[in-house]
Amino acid sequence: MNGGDELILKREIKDLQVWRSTFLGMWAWLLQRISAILIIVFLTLHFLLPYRRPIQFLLLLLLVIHASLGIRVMLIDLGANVKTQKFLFIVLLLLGLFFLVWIWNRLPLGG
Amino acid sequence: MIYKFLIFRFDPQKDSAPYEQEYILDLGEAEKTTVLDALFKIQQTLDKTLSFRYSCRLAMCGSCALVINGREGLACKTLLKDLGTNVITLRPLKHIPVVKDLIVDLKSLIKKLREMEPYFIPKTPSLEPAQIKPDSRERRLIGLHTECIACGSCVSACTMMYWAPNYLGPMNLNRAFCLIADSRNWSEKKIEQIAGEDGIYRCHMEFNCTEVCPKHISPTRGIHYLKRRLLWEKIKSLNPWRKNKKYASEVD
Repeated sequence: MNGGDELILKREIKDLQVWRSTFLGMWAWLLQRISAILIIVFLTLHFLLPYRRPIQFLLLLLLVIHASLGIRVMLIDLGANVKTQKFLFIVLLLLGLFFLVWIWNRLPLGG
Repeated sequence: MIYKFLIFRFDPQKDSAPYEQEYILDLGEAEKTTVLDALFKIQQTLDKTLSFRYSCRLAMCGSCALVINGREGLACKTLLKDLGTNVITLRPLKHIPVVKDLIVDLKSLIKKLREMEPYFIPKTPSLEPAQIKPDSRERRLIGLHTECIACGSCVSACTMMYWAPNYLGPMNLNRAFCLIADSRNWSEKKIEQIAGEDGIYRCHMEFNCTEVCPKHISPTRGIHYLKRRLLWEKIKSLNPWRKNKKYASEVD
């Protein structure tokens, strides 16, 4: 109840039905926020435990996801057609993953 | 086919808290049966106290907007067969005060809209009707955004309405977009309003409003036009040789 006399239903995340109306655009937004938090975690781990390949890989993966989704946001901000937002989400993530594989094989990484 | 409806019930005169009521209904083939038809059937045969709102039954007025199986939609437009299940949950729209059962009070939305002066204010007084050609770039930019039926589905789907109840919301910002993008309109005050704390920058581009709009409008598109427009106005205001430093002329 809101203010004791007015009932306003809200989009509560604990309500499973809410996730039915969580569409690709919102998943993109959530994924970018979650990846941002995880980047901080893995960056700290990277400094504390340097040259651990799984940590390096996961940190790069998170950076690629975050950057790909960031480019999508910038493109739409700069005037890309909003109808392409789902296409951009998929294509930019795939391009990011290709970039990750490409750079992983070229980086001078630890053992 | 037998359908199970789980309907949100709340009467502020009688109930201390909302609850969900179950109704079982045999609707036969139900090929062309809409959610609104089912609500009528329930009200006529099972429970006369059930309250819901409707008007045109043609997806033109927006009165019957509900949250149907977790997703906003018009009851008169949503076919039962398209829901892909025989268990149907009906709830009132979110982020808007509930009057009774499935009816919400749109007053709060209309109040916000009214504060924004959602009508045309001519830039120059003229007795001649101003014209924008249908095939002009400007008219194509505004596109179908003028077709909003103010059903409130976008406001219900927007997560920012949860975190910032004072946010102008996708419905009002869509209206602001239609007016600001119109070169005949005097938009200075509106631009100031939408640039505030509860304006366009609250939009996090989740596209929920775009997904649920029954008229296939993208308020996100309008909001992002306004963001670009505001940025451009601010850049132009940095020019020290400009006569009106606050905002540039309305026409780009």
